Amino acid sequence: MHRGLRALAAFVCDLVIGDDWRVALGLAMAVAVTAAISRTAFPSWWLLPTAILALLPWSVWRTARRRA
Amino acid sequence: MSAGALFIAVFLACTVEAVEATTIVLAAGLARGWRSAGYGAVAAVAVLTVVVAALGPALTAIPTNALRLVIGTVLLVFGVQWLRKAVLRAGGVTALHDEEAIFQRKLAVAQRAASQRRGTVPDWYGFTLAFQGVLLEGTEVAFIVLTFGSNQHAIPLASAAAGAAILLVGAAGFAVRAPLARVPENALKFLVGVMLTGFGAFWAAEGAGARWPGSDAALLVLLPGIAVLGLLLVAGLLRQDGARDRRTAAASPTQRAS
Repeated sequence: MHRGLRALAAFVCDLVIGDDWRVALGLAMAVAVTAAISRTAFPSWWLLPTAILALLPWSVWRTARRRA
Repeated sequence: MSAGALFIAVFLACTVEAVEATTIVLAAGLARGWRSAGYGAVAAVAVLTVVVAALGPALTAIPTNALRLVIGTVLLVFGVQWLRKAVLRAGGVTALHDEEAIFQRKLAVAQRAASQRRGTVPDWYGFTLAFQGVLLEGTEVAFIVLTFGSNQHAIPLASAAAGAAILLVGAAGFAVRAPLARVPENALKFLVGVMLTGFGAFWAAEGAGARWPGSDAALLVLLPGIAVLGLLLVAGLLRQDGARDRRTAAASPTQRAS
């Protein structure tokens, strides 16, 4: 039962997070910062597009360099 | 998000997964018999339907902002991973998903396995092969239906889009009795990755309390912007690959001379 739950958790983790956990962590942090900025008077909508713009190329180039 | 956009997004995402599941069911059917493979595929679809029916109403009961924050974040992470994979494949860094090769591999393994009858299932191996294949690929379908559907309070519509994709791809696969290798799977994956990333970012930011300039119209900039970013990355990878090939070609005469 315990092993089954752990296997299910690992499967869900792999399904959502995928091959690069750093990207998942970076995006989750960007959402958290967006929530924090939203409590102030400053606009916060720009943060997630910026995070995508930074994290996706970074992850792609890292993988490409490693496999070259 | 309009009903049409929701339908298209879920339909395309489910088409990609349905192509992969169909390859496995075809291998099971051709190698082990259609009855057992059919039972396995139908049993897996039934399990996934129960999962969606059980979780769907529970998710739609969550307050909209909390739901958008959680589902949006999960969709965003999931979408970026899809897009990343599609970019790496299109850029030649990783191999394209070869349905024909996968089909031949599964077929060869299935033809070697021993036959065993269990209850009304004539061949247990064929049943489990089809069941596991459809269940594994279908989990992503269920995930997309639940996330998109619950966010828009339109799980029946999202389920209909998934059902249409599964029926269409399944019927095409059964008609040709061969893997659907001509479906531009990576292009679809790229498109779906863009959609999942864009909608995920939009909903996650809204759930976190951000206000998009132009409200829903922001998606008209966000989605093309992500697509352009993905295409630029593919172009960059292909150019890098070409430059490496030229360097290797230029270096080889020198190496031969030395």
